[in-house]
Amino acid sequence: MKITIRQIFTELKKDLSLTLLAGEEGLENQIIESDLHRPGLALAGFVELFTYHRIQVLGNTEIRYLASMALEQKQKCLEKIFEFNVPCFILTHNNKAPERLLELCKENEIPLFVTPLSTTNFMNLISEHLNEVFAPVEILHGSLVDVYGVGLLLKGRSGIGKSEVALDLVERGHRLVADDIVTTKKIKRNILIGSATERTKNMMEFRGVGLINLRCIFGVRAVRYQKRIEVIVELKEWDPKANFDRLGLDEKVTTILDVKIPTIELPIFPGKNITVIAEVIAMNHLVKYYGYDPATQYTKEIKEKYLQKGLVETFTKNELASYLRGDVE
Amino acid sequence: MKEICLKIKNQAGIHARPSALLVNLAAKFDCEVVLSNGHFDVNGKSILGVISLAIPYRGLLYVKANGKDEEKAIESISKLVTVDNFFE
Repeated sequence: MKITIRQIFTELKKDLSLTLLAGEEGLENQIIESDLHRPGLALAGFVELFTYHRIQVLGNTEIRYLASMALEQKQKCLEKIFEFNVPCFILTHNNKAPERLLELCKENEIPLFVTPLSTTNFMNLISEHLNEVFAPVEILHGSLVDVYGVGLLLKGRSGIGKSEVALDLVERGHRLVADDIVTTKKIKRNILIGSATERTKNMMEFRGVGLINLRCIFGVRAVRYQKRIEVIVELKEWDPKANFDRLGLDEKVTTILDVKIPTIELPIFPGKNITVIAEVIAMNHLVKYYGYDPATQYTKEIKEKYLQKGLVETFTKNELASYLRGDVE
Repeated sequence: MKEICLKIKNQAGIHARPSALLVNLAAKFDCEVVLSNGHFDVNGKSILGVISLAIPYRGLLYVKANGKDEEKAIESISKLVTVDNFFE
């Protein structure tokens, strides 16, 4: 992944109030990672671990340090830094650029920007943007729908009916994020954000009908630009031999980009209303999210009930035996 | 598994109509067809997937087929792309 200084400049010019002071020719310079660097130590002459390929942020400390030096020494310090292939410099706090720095930036065609923001604030804001640009990406197959605010990713083999379920959900007032191709980005440590690609935004395809534009048909409420992926619903053909979860006690997960996403395997066959089940899955996720896990709570309750002495005595032997074969400790 | 890399000769690249041709062709075979633009893979039997590859004129299309009639699938797809040039 690479990004040019020009791209950053055009996208963030307004938000970060950036002004270009020199080195316009170097706007095509590339950045290959999201980290930033403050070249304080490099200015002081220690360049052994100088991460010169990062954006170099010159804050109050750096500028004050340069100002404290005699002219000749200052020039030497700056020239030392310019021996490296730095992509760009940024001055914070509206600091005035030292004369020699301006000259060197012009000579070496390295962009020099200034911003009125404070160093920490600036670094936070630009990091946010760079982290998003350099976030790990994976392309997934499936349909991503926002159901009651929960991002449901419908998966399954092609032709199983993911798009039909997605359309049905949209019909019922939910919002489609992406059909077929979901661009998935990992942000922070455990958040997956899914979105459509530029070309497939708002579009769906149905065999026999062709391409349709959801936004044209259902309006803006039917679509959503991006959504966190929270639950995966895996549509599976009904197989009498396969074991499907009957209690909801064991949580299955799918790992995408090292993030674990709860996964529900859903058997389908004609006449089954997957849409309603999908809504229930979303609501059940919300219930769990707010701290109540119905399956666990319910099992606990019946266990306690059965264990009450009086109740156990009224059981016939067989009933008790069959119950004990279950999960009473 | 069979693999091939094809150069697109169509001036407009793989736009909607060529995508539809590719998808319909791929769907005829009893094997898994995966298409790629070198950055990401998509299911060759899904039209939105193929469109989102956005392969331009002179771009490269990577075709992978895996299954019963993989050889025939690769052969037909490369014919559509290189010989017939999507009939355009």
